[in-house]
Amino acid sequence: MKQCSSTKLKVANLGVRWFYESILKQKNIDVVHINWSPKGKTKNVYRLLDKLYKNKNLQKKIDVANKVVIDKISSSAPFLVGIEQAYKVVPEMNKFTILHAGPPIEYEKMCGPMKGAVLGALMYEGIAKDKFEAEKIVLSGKIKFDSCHHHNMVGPMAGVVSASMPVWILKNLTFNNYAYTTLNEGLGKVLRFGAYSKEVIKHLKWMEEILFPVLKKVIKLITKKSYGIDIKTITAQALTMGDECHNRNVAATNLFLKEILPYMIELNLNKKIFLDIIKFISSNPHFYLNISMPACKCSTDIVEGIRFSSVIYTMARNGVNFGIRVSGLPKKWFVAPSGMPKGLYFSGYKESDGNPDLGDSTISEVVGIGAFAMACAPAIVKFVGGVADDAKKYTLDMYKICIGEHKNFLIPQFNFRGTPLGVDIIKVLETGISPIINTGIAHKEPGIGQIGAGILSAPMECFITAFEEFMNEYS
Amino acid sequence: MKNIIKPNCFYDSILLMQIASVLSKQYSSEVTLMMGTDANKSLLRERKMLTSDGEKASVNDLIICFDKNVDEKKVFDTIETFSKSSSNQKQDLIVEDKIPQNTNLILVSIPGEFVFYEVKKIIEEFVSQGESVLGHKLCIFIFSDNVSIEEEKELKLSALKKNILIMGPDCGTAVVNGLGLGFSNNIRTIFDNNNISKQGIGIISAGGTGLQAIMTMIHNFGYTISQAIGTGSRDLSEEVGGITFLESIKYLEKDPYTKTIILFSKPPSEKVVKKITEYISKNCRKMYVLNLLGLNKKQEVKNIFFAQTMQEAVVKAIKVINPKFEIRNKITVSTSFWVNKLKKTNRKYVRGLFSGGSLCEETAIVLKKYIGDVYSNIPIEKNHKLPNPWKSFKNTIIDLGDDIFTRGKPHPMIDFTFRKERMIEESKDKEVAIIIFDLVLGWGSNIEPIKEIRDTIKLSIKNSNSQILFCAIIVGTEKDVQNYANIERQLKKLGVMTFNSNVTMSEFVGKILQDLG
Repeated sequence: MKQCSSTKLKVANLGVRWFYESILKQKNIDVVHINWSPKGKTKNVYRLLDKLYKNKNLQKKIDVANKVVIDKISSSAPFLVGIEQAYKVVPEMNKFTILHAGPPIEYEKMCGPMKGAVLGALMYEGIAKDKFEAEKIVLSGKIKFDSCHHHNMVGPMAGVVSASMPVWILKNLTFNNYAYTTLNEGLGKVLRFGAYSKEVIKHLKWMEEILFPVLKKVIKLITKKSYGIDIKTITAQALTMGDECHNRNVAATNLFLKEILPYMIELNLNKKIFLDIIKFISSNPHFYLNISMPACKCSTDIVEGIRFSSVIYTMARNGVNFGIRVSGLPKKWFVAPSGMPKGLYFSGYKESDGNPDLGDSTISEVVGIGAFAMACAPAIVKFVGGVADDAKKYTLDMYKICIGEHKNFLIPQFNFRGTPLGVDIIKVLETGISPIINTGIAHKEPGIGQIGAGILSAPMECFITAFEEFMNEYS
Repeated sequence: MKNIIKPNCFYDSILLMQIASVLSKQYSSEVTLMMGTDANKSLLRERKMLTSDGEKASVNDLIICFDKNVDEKKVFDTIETFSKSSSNQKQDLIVEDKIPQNTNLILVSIPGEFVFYEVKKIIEEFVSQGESVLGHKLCIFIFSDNVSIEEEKELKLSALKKNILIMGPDCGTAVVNGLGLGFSNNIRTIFDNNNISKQGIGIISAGGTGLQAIMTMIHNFGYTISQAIGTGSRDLSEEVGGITFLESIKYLEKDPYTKTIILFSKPPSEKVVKKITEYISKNCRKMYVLNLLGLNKKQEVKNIFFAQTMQEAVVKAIKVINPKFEIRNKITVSTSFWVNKLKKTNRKYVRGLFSGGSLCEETAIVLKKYIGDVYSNIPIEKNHKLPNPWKSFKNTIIDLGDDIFTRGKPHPMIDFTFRKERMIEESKDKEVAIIIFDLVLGWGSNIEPIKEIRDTIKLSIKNSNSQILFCAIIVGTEKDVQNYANIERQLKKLGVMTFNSNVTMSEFVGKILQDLG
């Protein structure tokens, strides 16, 4: 009998690296170590995924529903059609209602910046003369708090909205629904970051008394000749100009200004007012964010309650919790503690000063812009000390957890491939990749304002509880 | 107790144990590090080490348990440096995200709660590409424990359909095509380049150290192993039904390089044994030697031998190859020296401190013949179970590899802490006459066992005024990194009697105790 001819071993090591090393010590064997981790999955998630894979019928229904969802979002046509004070247009809004960002939260549990913004809003409304009186009124229970998201609204950062604040009116022409957002106040010490000093309130008053009437007249002129301003087109164009339309809105703001400028001239405004407004808008690169956000909101409200869909239609943070809502599980919030963004801080501030992730602006990522369109905006990665290639990587990762691509938001450097659209909670759990988010960072104490900007991933836990509920509902 | 959470990371358990020992030394208090899996959290909860912070940890978070206040950042830095330095040393580490397509052997050592679905996925997605191993398109060696028996059965059944062999879960040892997996020894196999032997002995084993003891014995007697297949500890249970045993028998029966086969298991189900023996007598022509602990002696049929001990099994298998084979080194030292010496004292009990479960059980079986009742944490008879495994009673044999000692700790073959503590405790007991223990050598075991245990042995001998007899069974070969002869010499120097067969040691000890009355 000849020498035993061994079949060639091709070894893969899944788990403890020591096994790999002990094989290398023995002989020259073809061995690889597999990069394994549970990727955030609990045993129950494994069990439910297995249950789902066995149920081909359910998988088919989910696939069909998810296609419907992204088709609807993608074919939405958000137009800016008006501007009005909140109490006049926002559903169920009165003098004693205050809306806030993220999933619902009681005043006592709110984070510093949100509390600050609430107190500021009460002073702005003239309900309280100072923060002490404002706090007393809040604690008396006189004020009704609710999520912006429950009122066709979205609010950046603290997202605090009170009755007299002017709001943009966005209409989704495809589905005839509306969404609203306040006007962007600019950077630094502003209400949305929890600042409530006299200047903050004074600035809000200027917006209500000077800016709002002018913009109202402008939009009126525009809507006389057309449906309004086509926001989707501006966003699509800005994406090709280096914006991702969440944390970078430089191009979009300029495009918007270009849209309204002829009408402002037509109004024959007082020269000082005219200059103040132009300076205000052009010095605030985030002016467009508050128009883009309601455009996203009216493109996603329409997919609430598509049975069998596992795509999320909301991501929002209140500074304490991060919440998502799933199309097939309408109106239910799945929450987990907000994370801390990694990013750049203005000089004099550090990470420990920052408040956990805050705001409704993550509606951007839900429709495939913001961090999902990072490949369009390489300049953004400087927030996290990255290089331009990282921007591509972020976007490529998001394709792995999305159902499809946006028809109109295209990425030039990916040969005009659409941005990743429709985050599927199932894919998030399968891949262990959670949605990435670009965000501003507020100081954790009320009254100070923005101290930086950065990036972070949505917490996995809310996707786990949402998936458990999803399987409970549909299997 | 304080818990620190390091979010969004994943470290394997062995690396965490290494880091824990570094941190424990650094802070001179016990530090425990575990990933926040459900199983780990419930373990920490049981041990009252989980705080409200730890409760919030997810599978992606590392929980670090301290009983004092420490600087979080410093701890994280230590973890970072340690995990980095260990990866830098091994620059040849080839890391992939997915299992390459032509893989034919997969080692699985991920936390037990994830094993079922991960392995199931591997089985479902597997498309045969490469050459077969052990007669199967793919072999999966599952080291992880904490997998339920229902899951084990389902995995083994679905693997069967795709011509995949599953070794495990809870499989500690195997030698496949000459390659040692898990805790394993450097032995002579038919795959060695300079091996002139044409055929070897095949082993199928449900016990890890049992397998190591058998294969090192064969090696030390000068014979060769063809394949040593681990099946996982529960393969011969009624639920699993010996799926891996049968598959392995089918392969080794056909394998031209295997002359005869040893089957070894801890207490199996009688029903499954019947199924296996019926299969062998009906379908096989080679000789099979069965050493199934706790099984009553069966009448030998056709091509099946029943052996009571591992040594008997090894001798019978070798005799198939060389009918003239006899063991030469029976006990050479007379027992009377120690009987006389011990008679002058009140000392009359044995205490066994084993790292290998099979060795522990075998010892208990042999001792029973001489002295009757033997207490243990894994007794062969239920009424001899120690009420408190941490406290010995009369004649006691402890398996330190038992779950209660090892959960969240390295195996006692690596970490001698419990064994050292227990040895010192036993040596202070005025009724203890003999202390026996095992030293398992080979890959995975402690690299310097003597250095680890020397002072403890010295102290224990001193504690007993040199009245206690110390005996050790060494499981290993001269090719193991620790080197059998070297270990033997050093133990003798310390005053420990050494044995290369567990049965011989147990018989020797049994005789002394019997004579002591």
